[in-house]
Amino acid sequence: MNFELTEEQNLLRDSVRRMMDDIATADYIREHDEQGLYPYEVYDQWVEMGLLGLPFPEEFGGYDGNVLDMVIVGEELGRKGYDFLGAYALSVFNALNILRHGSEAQKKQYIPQVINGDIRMSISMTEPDAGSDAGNMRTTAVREGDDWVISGQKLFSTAADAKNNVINLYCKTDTTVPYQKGISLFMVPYDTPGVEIRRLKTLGRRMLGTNEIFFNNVRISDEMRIGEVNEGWDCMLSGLLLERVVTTAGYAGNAQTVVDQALAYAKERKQFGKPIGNFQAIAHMLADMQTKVDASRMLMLRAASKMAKGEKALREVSQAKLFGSETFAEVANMGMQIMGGYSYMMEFDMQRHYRDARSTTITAGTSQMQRNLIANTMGLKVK
Amino acid sequence: MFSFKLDDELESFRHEVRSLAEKEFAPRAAYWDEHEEYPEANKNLLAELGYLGMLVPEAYGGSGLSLIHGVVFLEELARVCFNTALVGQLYLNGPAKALAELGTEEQKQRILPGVVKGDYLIAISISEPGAGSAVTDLSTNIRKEGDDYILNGTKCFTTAGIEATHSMVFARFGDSKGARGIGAVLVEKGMEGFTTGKPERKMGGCGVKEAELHFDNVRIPKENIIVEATPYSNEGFKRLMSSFGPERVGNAGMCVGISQGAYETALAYSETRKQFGRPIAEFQGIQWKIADMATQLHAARLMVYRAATNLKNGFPDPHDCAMAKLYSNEMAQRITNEALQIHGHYGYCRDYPLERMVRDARGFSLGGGTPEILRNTIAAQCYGRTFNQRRS
Repeated sequence: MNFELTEEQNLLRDSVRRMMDDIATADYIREHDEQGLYPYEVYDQWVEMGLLGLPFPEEFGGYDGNVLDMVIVGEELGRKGYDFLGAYALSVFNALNILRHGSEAQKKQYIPQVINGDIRMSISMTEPDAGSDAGNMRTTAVREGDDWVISGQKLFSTAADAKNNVINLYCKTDTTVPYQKGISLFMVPYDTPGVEIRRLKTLGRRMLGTNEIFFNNVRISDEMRIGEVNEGWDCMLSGLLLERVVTTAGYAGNAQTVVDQALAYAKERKQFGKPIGNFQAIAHMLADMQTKVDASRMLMLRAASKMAKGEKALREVSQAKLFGSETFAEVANMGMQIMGGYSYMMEFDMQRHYRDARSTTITAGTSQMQRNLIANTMGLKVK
Repeated sequence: MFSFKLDDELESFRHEVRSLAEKEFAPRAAYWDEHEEYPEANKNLLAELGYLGMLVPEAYGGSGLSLIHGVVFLEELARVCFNTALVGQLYLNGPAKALAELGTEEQKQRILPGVVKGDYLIAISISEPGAGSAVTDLSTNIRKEGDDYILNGTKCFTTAGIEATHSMVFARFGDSKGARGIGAVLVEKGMEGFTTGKPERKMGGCGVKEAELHFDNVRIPKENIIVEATPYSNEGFKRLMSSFGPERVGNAGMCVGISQGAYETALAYSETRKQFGRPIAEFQGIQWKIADMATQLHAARLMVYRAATNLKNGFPDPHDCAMAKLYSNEMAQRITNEALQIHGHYGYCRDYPLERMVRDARGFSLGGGTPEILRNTIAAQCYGRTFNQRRS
């Protein structure tokens, strides 16, 4: 087993880290979290660096990066806050769906636009009554000539209101078949007439924001459909493991920042005449935190390296996602405790990490769904 | 025979407070949080109905009820509106209780009737930038000058320090170190040299802000000395700390209340929320979460009621208090978080109360004696000796 990065991977990591250190300063992040502002300036830097093209073939202007490159970037962006990875991942993952399922014309048109920053992408799947049970969605698209007319309500759609965004919408195109059948995938530019986006107030992840979207007879051309009619569920599943493992890398990056900040505080903060990190109870908390973050990274890297070899990794990815998210939430909670009353103040970063971390056991497949998936790979039939 | 039940009188008291809280405080619980506004209207209503003085002795205009009444009261407020409970806690159990215990007859007559009416609010001011858990490192200094005293120093994290008409300030008499020489004085709003910093915005409990207090040669008349200390003795500090037992019990009671609120919300939600064709309550993973929450809640409540009723000279046992607060603080984090998890992403959004409850509950473990400090206290009791935290 080799845990070493290649020279190229090290270069990638270092350059992403340097870029993020330069632009995503503590003040910048605080201000954007506080005011719920999308980090356009940081995103533009990614475009500049070519980061958006990382996993795409050269013919579309990409760099042919593999899953390991992706998790390296995921971890580095996550270091500054999990929400950064979210912005990156939304565009890249949805554009990868176009690469896998789109027509040649769609690939030629949209992938370069994502890579050069002309458009960005978000996903919209969840509905009020279709959360973990995504197949239960009710939003419909009805064929009218060369167009589709979309009606319904979507929920918890991250960054849908960012400028030049294209919503990648999953909805029912055949309501006569049950469940995961009869779902199709459409691209709906965020400013299409009839699209109404409402930002929800949330505990954390406030830079990107999460939204409710109403589709009021939204008319789009059939050219905006990705993949075959009624095969949207397969589109969604096709990228799921990559999406989860890169997301998990973001958890590991942000969790490491939590440990770094709590550790720095514990070395600096003196009570009873000595740094609080010298107290055994605090030192042991930090030892546990670093151990768990390392373990979550290892699970994530194991899953990514299996995927890089083209092997099945459903169990590995689910384990990494489960453990990574719960670890992130747990260490953020411990980081709060180590920093005492200061952690609770909005001018310190730890409360933001805690608020952001709290979403990770809920989104991208709840911890409960991951446990079901893992148990199913163990030959259990979980009901 | 130890009774594990509240008697009929307390149960009907609970019922009365619950009705009030649900009718008057629940509808605007999100408002105070969202607008980061002190729930003045709720305080006024509580004063009008006589609740603010419920624990103040009758001689000073209060009702002289017992500590357990205070716990049940705070529990019911915190169940629906933590910010209102926090105000209640300041009036019932914190500095007002300490003043009733430690103050001079003149101070009690001068201050407590105003507290009962809600005209006065006493804040408690202990922490300093360099003295948090290590409270005996505090450096705010007081020295005698003629008949008066002169106070100098800076305090932080004073809850409601800006709204308060009075602050009970822990300060060091003379040039002592450690617990010796620590006493307390009453600083009044408007005293020359006393200023407050900008309110600190925090993650939870947003309706009642923390403030920095600055004392620049503030002249304190001797009538405002609550506990005078000498540099040679730690008696003053001990008396002060022992008078804060009720505050810890009240804090633990609020933990039980907010957890009860989160638990009930999650229980109801799991019955109505359907996924995969059935209510999520039908899934064992959810059922067991609910079972664990109910069990922990039950344990915490018993610990808090025990602490509130096992009194000596009117005050709870410090170790009962330490264990009740420790367990309840951490339980409240677990239960509010589990309740949020049961709600999925809805729990993460402001349209539901869970994200507020998680933010509010997180603060319990960061003040009023952190779980870390309480573990020190409990360990000292277990071993029968104190451990010197300054040992290098």
